[in-house]
Amino acid sequence: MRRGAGLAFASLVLAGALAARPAAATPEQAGLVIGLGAAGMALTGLAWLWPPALGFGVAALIAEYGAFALLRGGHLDPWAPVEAGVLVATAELMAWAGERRVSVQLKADPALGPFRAALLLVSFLGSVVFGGLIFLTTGLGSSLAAAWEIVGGLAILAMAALAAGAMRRLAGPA
Amino acid sequence: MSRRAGGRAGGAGQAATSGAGGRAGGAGGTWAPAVFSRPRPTARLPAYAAIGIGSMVGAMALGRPELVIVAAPFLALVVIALAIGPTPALEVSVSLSSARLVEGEEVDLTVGLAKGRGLHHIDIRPALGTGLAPVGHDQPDGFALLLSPGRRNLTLRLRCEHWGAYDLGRVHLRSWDLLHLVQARGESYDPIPVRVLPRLDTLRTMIAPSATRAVAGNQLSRRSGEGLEFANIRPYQTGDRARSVNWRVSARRGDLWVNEQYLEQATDVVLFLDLFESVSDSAGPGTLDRSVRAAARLAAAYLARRDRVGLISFGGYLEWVRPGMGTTTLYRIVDALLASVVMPTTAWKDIQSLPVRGLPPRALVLGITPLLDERAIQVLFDLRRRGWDVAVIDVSPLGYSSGQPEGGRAPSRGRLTRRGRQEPLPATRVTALARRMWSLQRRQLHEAYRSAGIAVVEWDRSTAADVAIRQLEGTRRIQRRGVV
Repeated sequence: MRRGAGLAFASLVLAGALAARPAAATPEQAGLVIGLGAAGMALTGLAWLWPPALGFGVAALIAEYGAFALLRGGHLDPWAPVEAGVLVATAELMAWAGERRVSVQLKADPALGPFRAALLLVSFLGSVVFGGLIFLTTGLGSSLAAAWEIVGGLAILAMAALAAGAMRRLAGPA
Repeated sequence: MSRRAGGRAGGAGQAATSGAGGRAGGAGGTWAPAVFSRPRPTARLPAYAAIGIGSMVGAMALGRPELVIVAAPFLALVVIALAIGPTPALEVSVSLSSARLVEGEEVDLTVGLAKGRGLHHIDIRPALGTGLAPVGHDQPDGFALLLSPGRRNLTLRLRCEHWGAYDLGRVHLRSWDLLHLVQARGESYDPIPVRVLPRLDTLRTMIAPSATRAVAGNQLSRRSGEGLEFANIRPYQTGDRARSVNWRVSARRGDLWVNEQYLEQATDVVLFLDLFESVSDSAGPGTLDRSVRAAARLAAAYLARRDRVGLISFGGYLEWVRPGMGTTTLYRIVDALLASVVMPTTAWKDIQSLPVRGLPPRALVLGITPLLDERAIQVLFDLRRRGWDVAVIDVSPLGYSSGQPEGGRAPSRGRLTRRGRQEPLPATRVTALARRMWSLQRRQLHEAYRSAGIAVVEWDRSTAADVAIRQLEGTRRIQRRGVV
């Protein structure tokens, strides 16, 4: 059995769950939602063989969820923090599976596997908690909507600047 | 004294004095800092950043905070990974349980790690070279570790599969942050030369030189004197020892007669190794490999019987080891052999003779050559003309084509081929004819050598070195009888 096949399978199961929920809950525009979900699953599975596909797969799953949220309308989806945690777990599991598949002949430290599994669990739980905090604060009232819009915009700019600065730092001097 | 230019790693391995694995007879053990390159993002880092930013933009455009909730963890992972960084403060030491080994032996390679603060995932791969391999089938050749602060030792068992000089001091490293989003490659290096000697199996037959030195040794001289092997009897002369008297003959003849023995004297042997060209294929060792092994075995055998042995490696560079005795000379010769590489060169184009000041006057010069390069061929003729006792082992390249009797391509003499493979040609009539012509050319060369008084034997790859040496000794005996 190829190394990492179990991890890849677990990741695909999670991706399937992520794709299935919006598809089942939105009978209108089902084609769009199902299409995005299927693309997300396929690209996530492809990431086991070709790691760059992982980003596209996760993006497709998030797009499906966004379409679901838009079509659903109304209040915030209370499962959004869990959705965030499962997305992170899906991505990390598939990344781990891909690394195990291509890892060269190395004698692995017995502590590596449990440590990485623990880290995955922490990432999942942390994502749920972080998403839950955001969920709680965004649910405080529609009067804060404009303020949140500004905060969101600033956050995007800050993240973009941070990412650009980090990439530049990693790339080194010209 | 040996002189060397080019070749592989030289110097003696230092005994381990600190760090991991330092023990008597071993090598290495010095701590060297690991130098890492600038960290690079893995494929996921920009993907997560793009997902986060894209989802934020989508949330703004669609007015759905859910997208912020799913995007935020990805952005948080990016920030955490950049904050942690993948580059640890690390020192590495490499040590070996033995620095001088023989083919087939196993050695323990111990990698010591001393790490500063932080927790990192690090992949470690010692650079082993082509002649050393981890013991066992599909055995790991490195380690993947979760490294915490402190010291740690890792041991890898290696098998010496091929003779040569290797440097095992380089260790390749790859380090990640804990989230595996940023990685850095690095290495540490502290030279640890290792000598893997060719297996020196005992030779049953030696090639006897025609002249000996006036020094006690194990070789039977043609002169009589104090020795063990009976040579003759003669009438008693003043000064003969009483224990030399052959009483039975004396009683029969009524006069004193004494036994004479052959003197046991030492000899000088110079091994001449041709490094201009080499031929090999995937079926087994090439001509260079066989030449080096034969030279090592002959050197060990002659030195074991207290002869003086020297070495001349003639090829892209000239290297010689002056004739000497004992273990020190054996190590010098083997070190020179381990550095033997075929270097295609147009140097020495016009040289017809070798600088021969280092050659003892009555030495046996034993040429080990595939007889592919004109320069090596002519040098042996030249030595014979100058009066040295010369014998040649022709390390035949004829069997190195396709493995089929009529296949292959015959390289022209004097053309510099690349060390390595001959691509086999299909067995056609033309190739069969070319091979036959080549074989006849070589036979003609052998005849020329014999006419010059040089005994030569063809050593086919399918026969053992012992057989070729026995044949050569037999050829020389016939030649000597013919001369006498």
